[in-house]
Amino acid sequence: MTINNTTSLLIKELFTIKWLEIKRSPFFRKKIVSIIFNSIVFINFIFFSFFGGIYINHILTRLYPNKSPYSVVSIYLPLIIVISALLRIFILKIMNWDIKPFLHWPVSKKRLSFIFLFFSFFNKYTLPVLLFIISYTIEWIQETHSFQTAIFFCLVQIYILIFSELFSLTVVKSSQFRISIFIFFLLNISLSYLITYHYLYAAGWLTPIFSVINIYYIITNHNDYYLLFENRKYPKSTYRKFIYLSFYNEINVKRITRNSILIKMTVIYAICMIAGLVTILNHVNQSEDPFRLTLMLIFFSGHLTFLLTVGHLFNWDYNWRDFIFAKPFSLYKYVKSNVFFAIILCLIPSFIYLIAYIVYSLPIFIYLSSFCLYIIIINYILAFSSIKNYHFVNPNYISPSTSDFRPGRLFFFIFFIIAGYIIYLFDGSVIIISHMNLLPSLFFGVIGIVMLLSAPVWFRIILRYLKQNKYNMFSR
Amino acid sequence: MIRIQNLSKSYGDFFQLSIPELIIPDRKIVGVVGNNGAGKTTLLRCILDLVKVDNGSIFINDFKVNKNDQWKIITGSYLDESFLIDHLTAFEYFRISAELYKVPVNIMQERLNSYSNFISSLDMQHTLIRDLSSGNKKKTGLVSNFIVQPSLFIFDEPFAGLDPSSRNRLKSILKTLREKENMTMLISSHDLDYIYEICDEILVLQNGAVSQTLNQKEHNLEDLKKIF
Repeated sequence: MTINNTTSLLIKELFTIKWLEIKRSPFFRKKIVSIIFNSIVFINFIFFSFFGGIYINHILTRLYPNKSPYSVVSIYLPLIIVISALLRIFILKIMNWDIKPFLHWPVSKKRLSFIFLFFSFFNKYTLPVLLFIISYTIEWIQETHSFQTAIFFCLVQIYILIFSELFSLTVVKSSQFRISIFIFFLLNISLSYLITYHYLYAAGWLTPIFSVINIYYIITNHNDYYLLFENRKYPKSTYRKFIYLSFYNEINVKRITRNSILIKMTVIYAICMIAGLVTILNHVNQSEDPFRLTLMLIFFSGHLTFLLTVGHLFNWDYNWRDFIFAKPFSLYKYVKSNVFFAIILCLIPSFIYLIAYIVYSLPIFIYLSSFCLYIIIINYILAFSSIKNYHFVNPNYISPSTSDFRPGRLFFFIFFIIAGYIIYLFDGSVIIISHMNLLPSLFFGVIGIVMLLSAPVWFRIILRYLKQNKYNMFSR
Repeated sequence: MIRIQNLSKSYGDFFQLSIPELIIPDRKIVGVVGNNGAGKTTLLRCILDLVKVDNGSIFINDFKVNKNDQWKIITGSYLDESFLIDHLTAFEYFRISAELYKVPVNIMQERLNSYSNFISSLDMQHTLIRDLSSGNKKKTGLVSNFIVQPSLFIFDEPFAGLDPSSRNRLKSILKTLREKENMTMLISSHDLDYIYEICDEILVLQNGAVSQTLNQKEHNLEDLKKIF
């Protein structure tokens, strides 16, 4: 018996184990209401991701008639993915705990950690982006009949997506991957350069080479599984200490939940706030109908806030929201503690937005910012209104969440897809309400307002109900 | 069997494990005792290459644990329930363990039957591991090692969380495995009575270092209890 043989055996078993994990997920053992609700959320995002890829070209063609939509997407999709990875460097990530049960078995630890790195890629936040890429590729082939170009586009985008995900999973935790920072960005900058100057063929052929280089480097250097047990290690770098010490509640939440969600949420919100200021200034000079704009944005804000926030109520595990809503919470202190960090971190994306706006005259990022602004406002309203009424059952013990809600990547995905719909709406040619006049817009606006204004009410009612029945609902 | 040289491990400024030299001989049951925070679990994790040591080397049968994975073929371990795959049933977990250690299914079944008294309260076929009580989870983890019978067992507090009858049965299982299968065992525990009864040698860890080594021939239980 050798380690190589047993590792091969385990790889075969892993697919069975993963399938059983999905089939036996606690999600399917909850009440039918939560199953239906979560299914709706799932279908909603699948819809957005798949049809976003199909219809994005219509939006871009109307917006930028002098540019090829394919070149616009080819340029900006990788940039968005890479920027998302850049932000994820600063947003500390916890390691994947799924690998732990396998470490004591007679299997090669390097192969194991490599396999689980790639399993980590197939998560519910990366898969929608992958769906978008695939659906866009299909649309590209159907429209232009240029099979090779479309496939090259698909390969390049998937490569950037995979390695940005792996990069953000590994680089923060391991000093051995410092060199990979330079390798990764060197490779991806060169790919983006080739794409920008329409050398997609070159990019397509280089992708397998770059993939092999990255895979080889990860295989030969990856030892991140050690870090599963290094939670007690105090961050040494001044920068990380600053991150830990600059938050009011996140430090305590992270120590108990070992979850960095709050840090991510704060960073996303901070970015949204500053970007939103740019939006407001831009709207002053825009000629769009501000009333319709506001109505539709409120609709989407309420809709998405509902989807993003309520999902955790039916989460099997405790998470940071259970804790944060249980304690007396000062919103003033929370915002004040984040101000300095927000100002510093927002300078980075603000420069990126500015470059996109000035150099490429692309207002798409401005609309993304306005969307972000609405999301942050709505979520703060929800947090503020909910904290006073929710009493946690047992604040002394919170298990590490095995189904992390990771809004960071989700937000970036939503930015791209939903912003396209919003831009489509500005033009009056909405995918589901095409050529609508004021009355339907008003209807959707009212729906959004009702959802927003009632959010504190239904949030409190549902939370109180769930608190009383949580153990019964999440029955064994 | 296990050889440790110049081992040191710390977690920032808060903890340090420092063992210049330690040898766990073959076919012995060696116990590790110590107060909370003494470094028992850290020592076991270092031996199992679950944490990265700061300095030093650990060898299991001349295989350096952090360089070569071949030692895992002869090693079975159970530290805590987070090492179980909680969405499997106990039987599925046993089957995978047996498959990885190349134990045929019929032999696995035979061995399971021989431990039927120990796992009588365990619903192996239908209940998922995550729905088991903590005691039954522990039994699952322990038995998954018993059925494969590697040369070396490493257990972290195996008696904790078990009812008195199960503790007695576990004690006799460990003794039988050592006598009949010539196994080497490294067990950490707070249960001084059980540890004294089954272990040939007992290492006392204090502040991350081995302060004393006791054995059954030269020391009695009172000597061990006096340390604490």
